[in-house]
Amino acid sequence: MNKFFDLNKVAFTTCGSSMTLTRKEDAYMGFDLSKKVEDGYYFHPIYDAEKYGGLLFRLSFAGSASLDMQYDFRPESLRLYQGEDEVKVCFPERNIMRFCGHSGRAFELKYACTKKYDTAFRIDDRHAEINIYTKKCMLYVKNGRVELDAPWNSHMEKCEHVFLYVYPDENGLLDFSMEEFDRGWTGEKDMLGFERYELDKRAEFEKFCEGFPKAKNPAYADAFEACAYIAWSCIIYDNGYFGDRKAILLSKNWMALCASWDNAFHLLELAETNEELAFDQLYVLFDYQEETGVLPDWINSHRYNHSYLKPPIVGLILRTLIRNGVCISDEHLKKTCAALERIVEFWFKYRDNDHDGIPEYQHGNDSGADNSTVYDLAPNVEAPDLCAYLIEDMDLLSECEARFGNKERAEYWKRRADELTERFIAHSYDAQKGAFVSRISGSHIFADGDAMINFIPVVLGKRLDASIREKLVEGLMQPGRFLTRWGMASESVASQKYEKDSYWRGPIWAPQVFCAVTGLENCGQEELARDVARRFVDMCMHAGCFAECHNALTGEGLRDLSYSWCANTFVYFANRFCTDGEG
Amino acid sequence: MDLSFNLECMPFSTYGSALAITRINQRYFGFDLDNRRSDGYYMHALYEDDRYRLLFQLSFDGEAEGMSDLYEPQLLTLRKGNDVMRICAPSENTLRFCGKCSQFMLYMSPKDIIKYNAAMYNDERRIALNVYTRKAIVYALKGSFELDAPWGDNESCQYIRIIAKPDASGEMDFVFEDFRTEFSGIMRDTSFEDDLRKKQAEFAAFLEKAPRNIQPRYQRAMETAYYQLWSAVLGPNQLLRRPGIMVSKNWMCAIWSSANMFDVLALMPTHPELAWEQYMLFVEQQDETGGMPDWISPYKINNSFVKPPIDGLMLLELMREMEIDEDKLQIIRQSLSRLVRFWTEYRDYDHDGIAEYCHGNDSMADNCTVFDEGANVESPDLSTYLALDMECLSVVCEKLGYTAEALEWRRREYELIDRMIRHNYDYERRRFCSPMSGSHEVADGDCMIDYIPILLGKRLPQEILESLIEGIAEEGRFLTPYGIASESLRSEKYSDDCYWRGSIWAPWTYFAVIGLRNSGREALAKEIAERYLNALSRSGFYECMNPRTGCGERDGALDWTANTFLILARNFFSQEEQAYE
Repeated sequence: MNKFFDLNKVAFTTCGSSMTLTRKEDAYMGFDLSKKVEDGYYFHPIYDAEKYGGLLFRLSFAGSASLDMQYDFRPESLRLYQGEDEVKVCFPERNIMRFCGHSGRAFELKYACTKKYDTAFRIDDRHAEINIYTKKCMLYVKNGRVELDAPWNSHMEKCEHVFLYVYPDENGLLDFSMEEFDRGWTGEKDMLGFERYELDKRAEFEKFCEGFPKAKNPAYADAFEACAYIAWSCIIYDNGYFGDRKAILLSKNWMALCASWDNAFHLLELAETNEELAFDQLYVLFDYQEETGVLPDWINSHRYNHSYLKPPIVGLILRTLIRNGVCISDEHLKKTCAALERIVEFWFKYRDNDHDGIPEYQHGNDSGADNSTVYDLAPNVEAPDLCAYLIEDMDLLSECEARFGNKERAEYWKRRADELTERFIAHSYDAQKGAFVSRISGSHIFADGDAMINFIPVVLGKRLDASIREKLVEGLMQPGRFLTRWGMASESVASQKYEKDSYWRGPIWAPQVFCAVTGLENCGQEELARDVARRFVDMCMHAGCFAECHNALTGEGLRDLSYSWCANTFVYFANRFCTDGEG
Repeated sequence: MDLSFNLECMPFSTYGSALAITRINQRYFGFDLDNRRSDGYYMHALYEDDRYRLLFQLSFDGEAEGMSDLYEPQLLTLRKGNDVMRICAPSENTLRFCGKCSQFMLYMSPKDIIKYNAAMYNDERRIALNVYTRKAIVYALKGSFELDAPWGDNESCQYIRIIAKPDASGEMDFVFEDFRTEFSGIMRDTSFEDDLRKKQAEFAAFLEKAPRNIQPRYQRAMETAYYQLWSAVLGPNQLLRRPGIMVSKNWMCAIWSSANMFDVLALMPTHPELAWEQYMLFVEQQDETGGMPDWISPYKINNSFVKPPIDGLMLLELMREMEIDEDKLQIIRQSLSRLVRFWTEYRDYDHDGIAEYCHGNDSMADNCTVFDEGANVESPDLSTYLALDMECLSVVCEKLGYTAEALEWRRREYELIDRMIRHNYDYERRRFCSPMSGSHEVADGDCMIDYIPILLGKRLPQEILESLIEGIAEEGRFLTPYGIASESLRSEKYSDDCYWRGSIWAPWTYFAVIGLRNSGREALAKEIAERYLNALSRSGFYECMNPRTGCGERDGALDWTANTFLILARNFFSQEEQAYE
């Protein structure tokens, strides 16, 4: 089995589905790290609030612990087995999970901690309905029968617990499905045999892989297959706010949403091989651009959130791809630039409260680096990454306008970019320190610490004076600071504020490593860039996962262990920088 | 208008707005009865989980003690000593504060801060707030601000205290504006008095349409009911595509299916456009099964449960009062037939031809005693509602000229009534029962839900109808001096303040009244209506009412209670006193 198909890290799910199956061993779920969940395999739907706490049914063969089962995880199906007993799981439809196998005993699905109003009832030998706030499921049996243990607690208006037992038929065959529905269950739809659906699903995945980059170095073939699976299986569509677009969620563990900078990293992975899907990831959010130009912080099927923003990194990513020789169609560039112009103007019009021409984040969340040390004194900070991204955006706008023959507009954006560069360096570069600093809007003081965010301006490359460039390169490559065996730490590992599992106060994050690598290339330091990129690729191979972030010193995955931007960056780096060698 | 209201029951808000001000006095806020809050005046925003949250405490000096209020239509005046603050709601996303006082405070305490909440001092006349889930700006037109909001270590302020200070003349005038994405930068340039006059005129125009022949003893409560409904409107806002009458702007800030039908019936004769929006909000969300959402709010369309199909009976009542035009009848024909199909096709798991609820919440009587043994119950109210849906469809089809379809619905209605009697009526006990689906066992208790078939009136055999009338007419069982209790006061399962296990609720009281009327017992019907209206005139339009004391319980301003008041007052207590007599 491909080692990246680790069910503890990657959820078993399918394109378009909100239903997942996951394995938990000594693990937490969601944002509360102190809240360990009971070990086991779980059925886990990701809609709404359930994505954080909704490990619903723990699965096992009767009389055994859940983790007594072993698993075999393929894109098209999951096999759970223990001795002679086995059950395979696949998706005949995106809202139907089918379980099929043989066993000498019942297969159990146990939901222990019901919330108010959670109920289940057995309709007959073959049907049981589950209404677990906020979704409903029908469990229906093709071979065997279902029993339900769900004592009613009238005081709490819920079942005390919901335990389902599916017994095999007289030949030991088990075959049942769980179908998710909203109001009324409209009857069985998966009338064909299990294998047929498994084959169809395999074909569907292979078709997707045709539009996914192939590993240039065979050492990464397994990892690429896993990255393809992560992208494909995290797609959701025809669902609430997503409409018809195929949106790739950050993860189907619990970060089940599309955020306004994570989305751009899909371009790195897919722009060359599946341009439509790649740009759809931008449009998923552009669809919700407001009159002011602002995009939602994130959206999912049932909500678009405007509480915060995310940094405007699209320009940097597209310029990098174009620099690398990737062909981008005029149609997509035009559409993207139209939205990007308004995004750029938004920052100057609405996010410069002290009117110094240097826009600010108004909360760490706006920068994507939620709790980075630069926000330790106040939330509204003129972090230097923001101007760097905006300059890249303006340069992209200028280059695209030139490409479309709009010379005047091209010059206009070039001039804006030049002006901003000058103002930005005067404002944010502390010549005495020889470093960029993140000033608080208004007071212009800055917090202690040594955050990677202050080195993001390296992406500007030759736009910067050689002396500044050298300082940035030197800072990034200084041993024992940001550069570790595995990439670039978000806070210097020598900083007093460094912590190993602290979100943006130490761990390695894919977007920052991407910026460092791209910046080094833009400064003409190709070898250093290759070196850093390889460390990151090694880290993913070593950790066996593409996590939300990784421990800067050990490389191990942290938080949500299957995360789109890490996979995107891995694929991009591997095919650009690691085409030779053993991997 | 010579009206004033009780801020403890009915929050101060305006048509379309998600901002409200409420007063807490020895009371809880939200569904958790143990969630006691310190007394005082609070501003809250009705978005997502914020609706359970009291965002900012309002005070002159940080102390609620000694403050008093006067709540008039669209004007709230707070006082303490010589300090005066007047508040109005000029638009759907603003509150305006105009006062003569040495200072005025908006305070979010450390325990009310949730992660990421931040306040930013832009300048002495502008404070920006990002208090998950919404953003806001507070800007001064007269006077200035101080901000006391130290940044904490949880990516949030430790607390937020905005202190407004008067200008040299001792006056302050500031605006709290809530927005989803960005502050437009446009500040109000009208005077407080102009804003106030405009809003008062808007309400006056709404009230203008009220019936003029209501008996004087109910005049004041009627005006209050109209005010409550008008000020409970929210939207259009995100998922809420039309202006919706919130069940309440306290914390039940959504539109529940079924509750919307009380809006339709109460307002259709006087405010047909707003009333019809309440119907269409749900019709638009009907899915291919014919099911409707449980509730709709700006941020969520909830499918966890459904609500009972009372549409038909409410529309039949409406058609006694007025003609419904053909376009609307076509919509009703489509939607209601699909709703009936939902219940008959998807909610009859034991295939006995009697539909069931899958949870007390489906019946709207969440925790009533018939659900004590299990969640799946074939209570007789459901078949009653469905029979009346069929009758309504028959009437509607008749009006539209679909004669065969009309006959078919009538046939199905009588078939269902027969089947329900055979299934649910216990001749030995002389009552309807609520058997569980499948096992057909019946829980102990004596719940009013088993008497809802009174709605069928003379369609029932005389003997059965008599038993229903006797049951409802028996003083001290369901019938109380204030209305109809949801569980018999003599039942072992009766409790005070226990939701549907005793409290008086508007829908069931209303159903008893019109059921009795339909059964030829007009005098008793009117007597119950009068008791209920008198009780509501004293208590206000709470979610429900204690059947022993007549005091309001739970949410202090619920739309179906106000609606029921309007419907009953109009139908039974016009000055002519001629209705149905």
